[in-house]
Amino acid sequence: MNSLSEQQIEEYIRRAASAFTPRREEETWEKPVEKADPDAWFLEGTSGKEISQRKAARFLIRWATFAAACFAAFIISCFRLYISSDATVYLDVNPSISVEVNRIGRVVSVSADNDDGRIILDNMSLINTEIDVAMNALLGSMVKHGYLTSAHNTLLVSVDGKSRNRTAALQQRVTKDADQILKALLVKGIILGQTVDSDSDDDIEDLAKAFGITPGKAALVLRLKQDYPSLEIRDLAGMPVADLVRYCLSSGIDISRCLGENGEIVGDLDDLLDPDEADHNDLFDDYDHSDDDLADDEYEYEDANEHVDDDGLERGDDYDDDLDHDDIEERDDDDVPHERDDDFDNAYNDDADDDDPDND
Amino acid sequence: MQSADARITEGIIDMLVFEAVVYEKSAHQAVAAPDESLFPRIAAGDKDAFFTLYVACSPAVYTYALSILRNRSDAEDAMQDAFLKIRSAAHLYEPLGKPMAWVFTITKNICLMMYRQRSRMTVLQEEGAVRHLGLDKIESAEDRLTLEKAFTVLHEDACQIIMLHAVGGMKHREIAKLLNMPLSTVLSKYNRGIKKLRSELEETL
Repeated sequence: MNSLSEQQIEEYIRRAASAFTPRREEETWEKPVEKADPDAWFLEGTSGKEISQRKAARFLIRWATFAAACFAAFIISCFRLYISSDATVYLDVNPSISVEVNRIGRVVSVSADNDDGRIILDNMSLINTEIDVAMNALLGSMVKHGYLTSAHNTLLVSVDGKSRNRTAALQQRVTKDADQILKALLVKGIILGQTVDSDSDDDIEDLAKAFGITPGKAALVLRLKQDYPSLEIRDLAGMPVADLVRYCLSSGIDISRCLGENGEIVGDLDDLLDPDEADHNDLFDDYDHSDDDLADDEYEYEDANEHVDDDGLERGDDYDDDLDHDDIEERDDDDVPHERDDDFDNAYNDDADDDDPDND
Repeated sequence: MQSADARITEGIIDMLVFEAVVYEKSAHQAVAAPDESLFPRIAAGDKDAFFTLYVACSPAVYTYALSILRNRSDAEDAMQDAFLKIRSAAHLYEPLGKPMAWVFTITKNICLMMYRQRSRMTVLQEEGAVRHLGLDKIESAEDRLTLEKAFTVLHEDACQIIMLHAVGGMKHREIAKLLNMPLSTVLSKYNRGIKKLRSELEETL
């Protein structure tokens, strides 16, 4: 038998249906019927209006589902923007602190990169605050703990972010904020601002971890080393930022050239060369770097700080966000350890001397 | 005698040809959609209009009802009820160009109501299906066997789709709307059903 076609099969069915369907039209016609109501149960789904309403409802449901999905995606993306870090603001004085902020400039996390930073962050909750509020609190705490004084008023602010434009804008914003805060707290300050890209150079992260500094300061140190190969990384990394700047000035190094992209200096660097700070300058003049000098430097450095402590300011009140001159208290150099890492010293300074007292 | 016999033979042949033409014509009419103008006439009490509609639609209505209810007497009751309801609601018919869809929707609603009212579902076995469905009235062995296989070996959905398409003359898109199924599902079930029927028929015939 030849293969049956679809039409043949349908034809068989059609003929069979016609042949066996009972013919009861007369009987059906004889039965009395009443006119049906439009809402009769058996008419469900027959009305054109009902069909178009169902189509409209289906259309509406589809669009409502699509709109709900879009809204959910929008909420999720907003939430992700809110909780995810978009940039990191690095603050270096001697305390080194990293502040991660989201895209709308709110703090996502704060971490200390060294022991001094941990002292500053002690029990401080900054999550979800605006970056300028967090800066105010952190710089206020540095003033309170004596890391920032009228003589040591230099701050390095570095910003590392995903977007070049947003990072530059954030760097300008935090630099301006820091300037205003330092002016409010210490009358004047010097802020070195820069943007960095820590992902571009693994050495930045390694150096930062080894010396307990932020990647921002590590990037500055690496650039100084690159431009002035005679400098020692461990010395540069171990100095508080104010001392580092003083050292550069006294050594004739143009530090502004070594700042990263968008580098700017707010404040007058000449303030650091005030005749009253001569002892400091003398100290840093000798940073070129015999081992004995380093030992002497440590001694003189403490003396210098004692000198700075005689600023006549009263001890501050308890910490609050609106710190002012009354809140300034003496800087205690015992609270300002200079962290070093022997392994990193060896890696970066092949000629490092093990007898260096700072390495002990 | 020979000429008389020849005339008788010719007469028989003419009758057979005539019956075949009528048969083909009626089969073709079973697929052709009825004229929408029949409904207002039925609403106005036009018996001829009702009979025309009945002749055009009854095979499709009956086989569709049978494919749902799987019982001859229930299908007959459902068909009669469907035509009574069509008579009573003819004045409500909206001419949307789909009279068969209107008729089948009413038939489906009636069959589903009956289906719900039945305490148990009839499971058709091949043995006895011919008698159970009343297929023994079909003289052509091929036609009877095809319908028998359609009701016994095909899944209920596939059987309904094939009946609606082959007997009711409905397009697959219309069937998809009537049965609330995606068009792709309807096409798939239809093609698989036809393939299965072909295979069964080729084994048997």
